[in-house]
Amino acid sequence: MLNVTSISKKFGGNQVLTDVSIKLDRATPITGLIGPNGSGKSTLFQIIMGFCSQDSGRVEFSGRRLDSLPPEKRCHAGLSLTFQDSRMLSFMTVEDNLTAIPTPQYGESLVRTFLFPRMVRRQEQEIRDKASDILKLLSLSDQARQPAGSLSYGQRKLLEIGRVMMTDPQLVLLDEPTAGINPTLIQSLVNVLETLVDKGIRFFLVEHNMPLVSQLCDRVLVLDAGELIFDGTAADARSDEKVVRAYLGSDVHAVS
Amino acid sequence: MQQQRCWRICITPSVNLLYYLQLLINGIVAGSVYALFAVGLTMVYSIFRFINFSHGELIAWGAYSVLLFASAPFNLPLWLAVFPAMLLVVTLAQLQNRFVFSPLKNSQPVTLLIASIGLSFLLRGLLQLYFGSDLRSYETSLYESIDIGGIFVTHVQMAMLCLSIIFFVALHFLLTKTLIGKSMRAVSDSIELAGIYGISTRNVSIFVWTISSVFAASGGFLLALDTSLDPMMGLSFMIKAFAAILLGGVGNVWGALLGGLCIGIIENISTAFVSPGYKDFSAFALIVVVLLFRPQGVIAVAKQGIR
Amino acid sequence: MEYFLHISIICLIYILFSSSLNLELGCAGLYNFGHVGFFAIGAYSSTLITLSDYPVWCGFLSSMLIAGAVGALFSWPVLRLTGDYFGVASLAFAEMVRLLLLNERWLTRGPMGIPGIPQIEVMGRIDNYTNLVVALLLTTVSLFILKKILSSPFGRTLKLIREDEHVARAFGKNVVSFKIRTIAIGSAFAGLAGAFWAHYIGYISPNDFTLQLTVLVLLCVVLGGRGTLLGPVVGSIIVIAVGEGLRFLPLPASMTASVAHIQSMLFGLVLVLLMLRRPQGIIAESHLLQET
Repeated sequence: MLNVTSISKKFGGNQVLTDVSIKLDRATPITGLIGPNGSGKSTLFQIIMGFCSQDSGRVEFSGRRLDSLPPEKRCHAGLSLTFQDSRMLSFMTVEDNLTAIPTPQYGESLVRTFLFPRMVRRQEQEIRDKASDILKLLSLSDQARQPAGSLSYGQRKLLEIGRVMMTDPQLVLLDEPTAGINPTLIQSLVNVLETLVDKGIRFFLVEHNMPLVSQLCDRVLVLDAGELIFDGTAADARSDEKVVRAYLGSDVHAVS
Repeated sequence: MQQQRCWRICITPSVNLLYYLQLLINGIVAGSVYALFAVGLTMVYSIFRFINFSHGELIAWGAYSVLLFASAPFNLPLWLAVFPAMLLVVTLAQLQNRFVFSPLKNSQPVTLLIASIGLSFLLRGLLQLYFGSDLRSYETSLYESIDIGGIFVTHVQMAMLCLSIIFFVALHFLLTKTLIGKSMRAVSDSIELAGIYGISTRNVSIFVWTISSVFAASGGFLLALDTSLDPMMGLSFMIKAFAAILLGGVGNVWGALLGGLCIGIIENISTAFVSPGYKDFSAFALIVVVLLFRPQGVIAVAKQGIR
Repeated sequence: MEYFLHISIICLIYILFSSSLNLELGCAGLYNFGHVGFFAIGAYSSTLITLSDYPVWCGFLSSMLIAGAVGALFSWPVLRLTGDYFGVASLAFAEMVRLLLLNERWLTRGPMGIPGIPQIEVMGRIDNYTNLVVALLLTTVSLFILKKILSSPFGRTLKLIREDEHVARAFGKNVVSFKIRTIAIGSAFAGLAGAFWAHYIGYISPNDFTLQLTVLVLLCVVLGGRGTLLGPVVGSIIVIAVGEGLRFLPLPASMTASVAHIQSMLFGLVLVLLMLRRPQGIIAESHLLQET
């Protein structure tokens, strides 16, 4: 499905990614990407989504080259991304956070808004229904009319997944979905993810919570200092010598 | 605007070339002063991450405060009036920093920009209130010019060029050799990191505002000496400085220098082809052209930060 | 009474003008500081068209079209910039427009300006009551349209873009297209406001369209509250009231000439204080006070 071929990226004099190749297929519902801080995980995601351009290498999705496409076109191709720092649309209501997402909407065309209000209204109703279903699933229905800025951090993370659910992506890049949220919410997040997997959505996630990674992911990739050092099951990753060294050695790196 | 410089316009090709050469020289001179403005603007940007709109007012205040100290109650000779004038403008810049920009440091850049627009109106209103809206000029006899093989360079123009060179050399040493200059470069790379390493962002911002206001005020004074004083002068110079930093890559001191020179040369050469009323237009047109072809600046820098 | 009528009409024009800016600045987060350029384009195009013997409504329509089209054209290169870069570049645009108006004398008569612009005439009546009614009508209809735009999915997506462009793009919104359309609409309404102003005042010159006006309108929007429909309305009323009120201050005779300067100083000061103390304006878009 996703085919990343020998991606390299330099920031200034810093080699962030070196010749990273990753192949994801539909058979694996959730693939994990782990690695010490600064190993280039987020950069890789930004490159796949198109927010950042690679120095060399290719990104293909469902057999289509994505390299020259801007993020919005990549989204149309079926990719989606959640951000590491929970990006909240704080001044919009929780409901609007969801209803604004689907693309294209009839109402986004001004001609249609003024000339065919009924068509716009009908679609708007569909979108709202979908949003309220999702809010129910995330148990955020009571806060639907509140500004999203008033939600707790964990709820925001849930809402972000909710935004993904509004679209019908094939593959979602989740950048640390559980960072800083409490265990109860993690469980509901896991439930939501499993529901989505059943619907046929595939995930590629960056995560630091190892127990969660072994629980969720059938396949784990490990990045260290911009290089892919492991590809296999979570259980194998724990016993892999290189992976262990990467994590234990990371302190030594930071000091030097 | 009165034009004290004189140049010959003849039809014969050789003299025509001389005419363009004259325009080029004028452009380099004006451009070197624009570069001074642009450097101040870009340095403030690299620390505060906003385009300081009231930079133009520092320029105008520089010119007018020299007039203030050179006239009625003080009656200082022009060269002496420059010093208290610089002091006044630097104080003004520090007050801005202390009471407006530092408190807003963590706001969005647009908040800072709006505040600086407000500030610029306040300051310009003050100028107009005290000096009136008419054009003024200094009483001086500095307008003699030297004839170098048919090209005329006035004393003022020489002073402009020399001052810019001196200031840029000094700036280079400040940035590379002194602690405060190095700290400034560190802060411009990352405020958070600099804070961790114990660099006082407060001192750095004081330093930046001092440099930027001295550069602006002295440039403003020299340009006013060359042409005249106008309460609205700040705005168009500010826009030119902005065009220069867009051209040179934002946050890049040497880019600002080159950008300023380019703007000066282009706008002076353009007077040969279009009506002089459009002289200011070229800077704006350049902004649009730059944006169309190289939004990241002509002299692209790999990363933000003073280099 | 005549004075009161005059103030009301001016106020309505400002409401229209600042609401159009609010669409860009408040809703889409586009800090357009060159809005006065479109106001000028509207004023000049309507003037020139009516002076070649077309009816006034024709002038209004064409001013909207021309200003809107120029807006779309201008935004195309400039939208590559974000935030404050965009702001300063748009400001440069407004100055460019002013220079063009000053220098293209064959079209605009340059600094002399154009006098004798046809007045608005409804059923044979030309007076300030007619002007007021027309202004009220234009402003109400425009506000209604703007409200409709804001509450439509289009407006919602604009807010999404304002809040976070990255999120919008990650979810497939064509950000540039939205912004261009927003600027086109905002400019069209600014053009309409300019056209009405020209016909009401009867005389225009390039010096009416300086940065002063931009700051005034910016103040109306920021003071009233960005991103709300009511904000610019409230803001405009306050700004006009205070601005006019200054004329009645018991100043010594020698100072009367400098009222304009005091005005601009005051407005500048209010902008600074507003940014320091209450950046969200009088009517905050969300009751949630967001710490920035």
